[in-house]
Amino acid sequence: MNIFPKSADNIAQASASPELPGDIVIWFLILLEITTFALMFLAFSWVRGQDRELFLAGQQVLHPLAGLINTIALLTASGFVAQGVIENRRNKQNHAAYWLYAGVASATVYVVVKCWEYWQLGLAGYGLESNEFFMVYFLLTGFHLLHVLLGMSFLVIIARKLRRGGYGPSDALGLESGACYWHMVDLIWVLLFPIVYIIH
Amino acid sequence: MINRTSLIWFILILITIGSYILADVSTMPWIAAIILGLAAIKGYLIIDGFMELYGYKGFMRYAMNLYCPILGLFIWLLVKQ
Repeated sequence: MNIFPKSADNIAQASASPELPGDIVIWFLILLEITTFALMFLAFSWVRGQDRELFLAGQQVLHPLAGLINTIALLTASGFVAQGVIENRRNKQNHAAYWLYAGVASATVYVVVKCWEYWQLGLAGYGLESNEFFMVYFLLTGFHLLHVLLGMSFLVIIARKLRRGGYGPSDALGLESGACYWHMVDLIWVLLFPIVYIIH
Repeated sequence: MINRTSLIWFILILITIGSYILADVSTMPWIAAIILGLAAIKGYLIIDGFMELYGYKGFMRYAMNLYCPILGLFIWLLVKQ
């Protein structure tokens, strides 16, 4: 089954032309960001290889279910944002704004769960200086959390502009750029989740 | 009729839950390879589906779509040691 059919229905839902969605600048920023995270993932994996027992012990303290909930929250937020872009293309800017706000609400679940995880680890006495595992764990997930918060801010600004009629089907560069930035945040988590939480 | 975004989201959720369950099965290196492979599929769905790069023929799509498989491979090589 092809989930990206080139049918008339799909063209109405998706991008109308085979052009890069959003501004080219945002794509270079995305490349820069994913390269930075790639280096961090490789560093995490390399340090893990140096002291496998320490990392396995560290993973036992984490909450994989919290990681799963966060993955579902971010994927859901991405789905909402993607739907918002489609609604704008249908000239339904208010609906598009609601989808973006729904995305922010879903992302808020991620932020709350992540803060709860940090709080739990803090209560158990784990911090940046506990050992190498927790140092890279807090740096990696904290850096990602900052990107989530930045992405949420973009989504709120874009949704407010949508409500004011600032975007339309032929004028969606900012909306598409913000959406692509958000999907990048999701893409990074898709790799971060298995590396940190579930691969033993 | 289920729309494209919902279908992609549903597949992503299924793969996520599948990976989570799979991780509990074993700690063998090939399990890690499958989990990273599933992450690469999720990456493809996000890039071509949500980011709407499907149909775009430029460098950016190829670079983005190679990101997860290549990074996943390097991570696996480091993790399996």
